[in-house]
Amino acid sequence: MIRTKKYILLIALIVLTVVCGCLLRSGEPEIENVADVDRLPVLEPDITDIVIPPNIAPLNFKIMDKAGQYYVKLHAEDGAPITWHSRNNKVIFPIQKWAELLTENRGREITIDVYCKDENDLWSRYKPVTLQVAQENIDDYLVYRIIHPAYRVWSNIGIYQRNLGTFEEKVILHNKTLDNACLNCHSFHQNNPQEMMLHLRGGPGTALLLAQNGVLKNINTRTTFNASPAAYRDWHPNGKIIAFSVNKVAQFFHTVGETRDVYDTASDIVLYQIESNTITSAPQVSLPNQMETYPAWSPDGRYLYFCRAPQPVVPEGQNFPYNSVFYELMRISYNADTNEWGEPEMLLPHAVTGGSITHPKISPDGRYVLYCLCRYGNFSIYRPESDLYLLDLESGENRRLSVNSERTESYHSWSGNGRWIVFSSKRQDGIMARPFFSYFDSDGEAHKPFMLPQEDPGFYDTFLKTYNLPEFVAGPITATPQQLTRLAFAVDKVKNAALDPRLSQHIDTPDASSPWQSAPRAK
Amino acid sequence: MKTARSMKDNGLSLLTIGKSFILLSGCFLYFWLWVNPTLIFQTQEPVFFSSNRFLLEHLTWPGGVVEYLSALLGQFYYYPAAGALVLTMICWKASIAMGWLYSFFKPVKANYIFLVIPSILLLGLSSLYTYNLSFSIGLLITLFMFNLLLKGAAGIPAIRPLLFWILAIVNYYLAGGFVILFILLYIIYLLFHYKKLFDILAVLLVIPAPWITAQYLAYISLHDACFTHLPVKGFTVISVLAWSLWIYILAIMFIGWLMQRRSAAAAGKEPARYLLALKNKTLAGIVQISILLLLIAGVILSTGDSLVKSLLTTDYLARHHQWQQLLDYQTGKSKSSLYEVFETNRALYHSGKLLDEMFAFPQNWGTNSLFLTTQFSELSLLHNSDLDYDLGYYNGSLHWVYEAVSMRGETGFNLQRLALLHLLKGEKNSARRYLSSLHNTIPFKKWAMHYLAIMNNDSLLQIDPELQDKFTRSISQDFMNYQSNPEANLINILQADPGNKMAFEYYMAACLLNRQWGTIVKNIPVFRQMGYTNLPFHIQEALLIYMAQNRINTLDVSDYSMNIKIKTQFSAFQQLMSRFRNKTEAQTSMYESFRHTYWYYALYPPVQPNSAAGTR
Repeated sequence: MIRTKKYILLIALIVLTVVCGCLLRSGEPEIENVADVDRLPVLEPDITDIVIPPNIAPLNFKIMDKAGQYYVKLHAEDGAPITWHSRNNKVIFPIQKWAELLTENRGREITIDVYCKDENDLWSRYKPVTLQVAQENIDDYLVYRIIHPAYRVWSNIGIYQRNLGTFEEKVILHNKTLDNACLNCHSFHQNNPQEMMLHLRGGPGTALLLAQNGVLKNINTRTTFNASPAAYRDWHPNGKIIAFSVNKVAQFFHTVGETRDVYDTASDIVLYQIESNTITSAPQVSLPNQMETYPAWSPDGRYLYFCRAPQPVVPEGQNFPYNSVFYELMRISYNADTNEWGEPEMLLPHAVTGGSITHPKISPDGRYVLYCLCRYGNFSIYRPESDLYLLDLESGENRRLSVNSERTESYHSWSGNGRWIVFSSKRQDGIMARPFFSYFDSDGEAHKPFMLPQEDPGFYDTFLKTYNLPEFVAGPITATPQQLTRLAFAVDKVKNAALDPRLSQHIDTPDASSPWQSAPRAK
Repeated sequence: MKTARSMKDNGLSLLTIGKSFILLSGCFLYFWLWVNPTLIFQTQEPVFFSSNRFLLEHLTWPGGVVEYLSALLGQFYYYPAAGALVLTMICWKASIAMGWLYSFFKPVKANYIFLVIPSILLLGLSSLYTYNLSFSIGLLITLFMFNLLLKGAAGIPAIRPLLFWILAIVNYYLAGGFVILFILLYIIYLLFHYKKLFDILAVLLVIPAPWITAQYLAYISLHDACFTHLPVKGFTVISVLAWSLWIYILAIMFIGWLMQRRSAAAAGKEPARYLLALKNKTLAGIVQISILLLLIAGVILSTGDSLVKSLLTTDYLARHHQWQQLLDYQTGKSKSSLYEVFETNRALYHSGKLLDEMFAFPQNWGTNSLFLTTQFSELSLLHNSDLDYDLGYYNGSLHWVYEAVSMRGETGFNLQRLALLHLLKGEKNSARRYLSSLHNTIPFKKWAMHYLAIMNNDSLLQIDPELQDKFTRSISQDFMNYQSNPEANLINILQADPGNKMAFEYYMAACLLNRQWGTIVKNIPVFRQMGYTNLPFHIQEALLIYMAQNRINTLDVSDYSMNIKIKTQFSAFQQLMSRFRNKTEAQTSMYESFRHTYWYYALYPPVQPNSAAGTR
């Protein structure tokens, strides 16, 4: 009996404590005699003066100004304001209220008021932070690869899809179920989650996994024409062709600055025709004395853009002149119905850019080419000076975007409506790439970027992996990891791509060796 | 009184407690002083972060909870006494869990020895440096769950199938593959107890759980869904002991219930029976103790591996920069594993003795043990990073430690190295990220706090004992790294940083090991530039060989004088050699008199092993 009473008392105490805690927490602090601070608060991640999509998840942040207590009010012309206060500096907004506030204020500003209370119990208010809510949505999902910074060996690689309206992240495929294979180069036909491809190296076998409208295929893209499997890729707008580069890649290490570096010793462009399961090419994009890479289709499918550099002739015993290889922006007309090619046109020569072009991506309206420019070579993610540039195909204007930092800006992708770009940036520390979003307005201006938001605003402080290849998709990918794993292991069902019989002449055969390897005994 | 009675009811007595105390004390001392849990930490580098993210990740697959717990408890290996306590507690809990199970054999009672056999097997397993704690924790959880099931089944027999099903699923979620043991135990239980169709149905409904999990619930391979935490790969000491443990538990449950059934059949005719009863108590005591001691000795002998322990001890001393202790530990050995020789050479350099004493230690791996770059294994990566770190070649060190992260994960040692390297390279945001991660660990928290506190104060960083001499050593000239030719890298480092004494000594050591005496002669002026007051002993020895081989009486040695004692010794060496027809005949005598000289190495260079056999 006495014991029962004791338990009741204990439970009552716990309930009372919880209730009091909740009441204390939900109450608004009394903010009086506020002193104004004539500057913006220091927020991490930095979200000051940015344009945000109306369908983005809450941009939670940390207030880096030291204080004993914090109070934050998020308000706009319409909708209920959101308030938050705590002794903790991590500001986490309720997802539902945030979404409502943004939806109701599409095309308008929302304001964040930050108050801090010092050790003398005095409140101060910083200059309000304003976020411009864009009219246009961002694509619902972002797909990326997460990996430790890789040198020679890899392990623990996963491709994930992130719902941009929430914090939900789901795995698409992870190499823990694939005998530690390497997964890379995921790509979608016009941001359509139902039409996806990715590459598999090592593990069950080298293959291209293709998921198209519920049909899953495992394809070996190696032919007698291309000993190397397909690498950098882009879908033709008709969804029936994928352009690939086939590359012979070498890796080496620097003793100063960024350690890693990569160069190609040979590369060509080939087309994979999905329906006929055929690899084809043309002399214009597979010249023996040129290295063609990074194919990108125009939205009307009439042009294939790509990068090209002269293939150096390296006398035996000498090092490859990696730092004097400069890729230029080219394009070539193509008729998908007749498989006829035009002649390559030079769009941006080295003489104009002064550097080397990688990853050209054409805007959905076909007007702009967004690309990376680095000092030399074609592996921009390892080049600290790599920046995003924009070529206006209508006016011919070519300029560096204001979104760049002093560190690497590399792989990028356009949203389906062309109003948002996402790119990898190592601006935080020079080592780890993070996805950044920027609003791309109708005048061709890219606005101040913001980082992929996380529920825990301190997430990136201890996240020791890097994000690769951010790609927008319009919805969730429906192929499950289990389905894709089964496909990868269905080695007996691998379809060998046929070589276009017209390609009787073997133009260039980069071999299949790769500088990267699977970790033999990864944990 | 009540406690004593209940203890007695459970087959426990003061004698049992006394025996347990002695056994547990012995177990603790064995783990602490002999096994040394720090060496387990050195081998396994268990990764654990006290963050929600780390916890939540581990809740997403069956067996993740056990993995989380073993990672948490594995952190205590870093502290020898705490690690020993963890291992002892696990052994103790195993005997407690067996006690619970034996209590269900009433009126049959089990001899004490049967209670502790699982603990002895766990003791053996835990002595193995590569044994993962997750097996022990999975076993304890399973035994605990089975005890719950039996208690529940005894209380309300009608709910038994449902209870089994629920506990089996929970057991699967917590301990992964250990659900197989849980199911097998239940099947044995059913063999001896009244069973219904529902019992069999419940078992049948649990069996597809791994397949369903792998297909629909968790992203995990079917193999992992079935066998997480079970030693199913290969035939090793660990797998033999682990499966023996399973078989023992299953067998003892079978025998216990069998005897219980027989006892029930003979109800009223016989007193309570003991498993393997001996009527003579003295004899029983002697037999018990003898069996126990034999078992313990057998397990310890079968799990002890002096070669592995020697390697790990060397590795530990090197990791903690205890160079003199390392040299003392290696003194007197005639042959050592690749990694031991590598660390010995590092210790010699850090003690200022590399070119004076390196041949006093085994050099049976040639230049392979100077650089390790010919090895690309999980084990060599952080060692390669160590060497480049010592050399001031921070990009190289960074390269190797990132490889180590890829292969071994975000271990404490890897993150420590990354934090320091990024501090040295002035990449403070990167350093902060690694330090913040280390701040969420148990063993490295204090270390991380120290650097987080001083990282923004350059003057404090410059005088930090770990970093103070490292800032001056960074290489400012870019060159292409040749992994396959480490000597060429040393030359490049010396060109970029001519004052790099370690690079020079390692280059000279490589020349000694490769018997490139001409190169050594050419580099004599560099000793002067580097400020050596005397030529190191082994260099003088090499010069004498060079002079003898080229029939030169004098050599320009940049105003250095040759040590008279060395010259005299070399004369003795030559005289001894002249007594034999060939060097093969002379080897025994040479070994006795000159095995610690360079001349012996030069005369009898080691035959390079084909692989890293004998390494960890």
